[in-house]
Amino acid sequence: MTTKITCDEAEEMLAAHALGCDDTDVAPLHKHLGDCAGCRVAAAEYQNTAAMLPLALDSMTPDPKLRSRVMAAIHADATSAASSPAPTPVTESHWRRMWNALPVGRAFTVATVAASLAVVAIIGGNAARGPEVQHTVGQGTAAQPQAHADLFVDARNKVATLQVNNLPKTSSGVYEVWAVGQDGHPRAAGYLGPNPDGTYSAAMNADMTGVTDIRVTLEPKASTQPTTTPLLDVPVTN
Amino acid sequence: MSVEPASVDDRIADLLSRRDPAAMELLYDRYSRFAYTLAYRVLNDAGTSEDVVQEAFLAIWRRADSFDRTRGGLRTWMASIVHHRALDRLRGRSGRNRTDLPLDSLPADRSTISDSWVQVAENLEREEIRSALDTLSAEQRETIELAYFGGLSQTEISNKLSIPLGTVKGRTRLALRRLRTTLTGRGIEWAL
Repeated sequence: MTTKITCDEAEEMLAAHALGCDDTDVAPLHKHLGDCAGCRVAAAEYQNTAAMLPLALDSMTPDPKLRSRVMAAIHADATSAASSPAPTPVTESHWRRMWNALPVGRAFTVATVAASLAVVAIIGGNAARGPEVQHTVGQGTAAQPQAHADLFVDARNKVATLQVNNLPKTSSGVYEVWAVGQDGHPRAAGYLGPNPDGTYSAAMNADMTGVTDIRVTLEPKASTQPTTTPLLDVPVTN
Repeated sequence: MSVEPASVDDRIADLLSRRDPAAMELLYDRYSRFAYTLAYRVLNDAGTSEDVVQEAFLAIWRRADSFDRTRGGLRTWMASIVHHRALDRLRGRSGRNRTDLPLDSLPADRSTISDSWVQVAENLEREEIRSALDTLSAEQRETIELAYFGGLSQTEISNKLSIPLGTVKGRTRLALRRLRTTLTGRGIEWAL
């Protein structure tokens, strides 16, 4: 049975809750608010007052890349079903011959490989960040050596975003993203879209089980299999 | 021609209600600095603060249908989500969890809750907020600081300051009431 509280007690709890410093059972308060319109008003007032406190701080600006990352995550959430097509049957074909001819370590330049495999998983690298968002860095291949990419896999929120810098604007074709499985098969994983800051980003399914690499190609048109050489490679850690 | 802040929020709220991603672009451009500043003040780490901001915007997008301006403005909503998530991160590292009050599920009282605070939040300068905080006693300011930005519970504040828990509770409540009264006295009318 929930303990009954008075309006006075409720207001004390509401103030604490607004500041985030309450450490008592909120069930009696919730019950009280359900019955008391006056305290519901008070709840909103305390919340609104607490929300003023950050305005007293000197304003700080986040990294400009965060905007692309947030928007890509939202886009991923909005279009997750559409942006993660079902795996398609794969046969030995043009893409396989081409991609097998370009494995990491052979066709990529040594310098590019050294940079592209610089995995900076946040787990353990920065104790302040949780393991929920895994960050991996990728680099352009010999075909696009100046490009580089950041892959964020947010397991908790089930979104993955790929941010790419230094890709040339394209007037024809689409930058398509591929998830390469352990079997070496690339599967369509999404498309890079341009951002106002000149970068590109794509939203993807966050389930990276069995995925070894994320790669990007420039396709003449959207395709279920890559028809051109990879421009980027991001190794995936599972 | 300048656009009134409240009009911008109305526009964002309208787009949110239709689940238009453009709402999030506007929301980010308008409140990302506010959100990041709050998260950083609590966490003191740029990477974790960015994660919290991303989580907050994603949470707002996913809960867009539940936004109700009668309970407060977008800034209040943003502050609440960012603050809760920042505290969760902070306390996750120290092993203490927050108990949430599901205020979102409560019925609104449209006729009694003013949105004046939305206007306050948009129009008051930082110095005015600081000035309002200066009207609090040093003990009240310290309690608010330790609670809101420091992430301490009332029990922890009681222990830290070696004062009775009841005193902490009283200071918390009186400080917020005083702050609100001061801001109200500077031209903000409440429709209670």
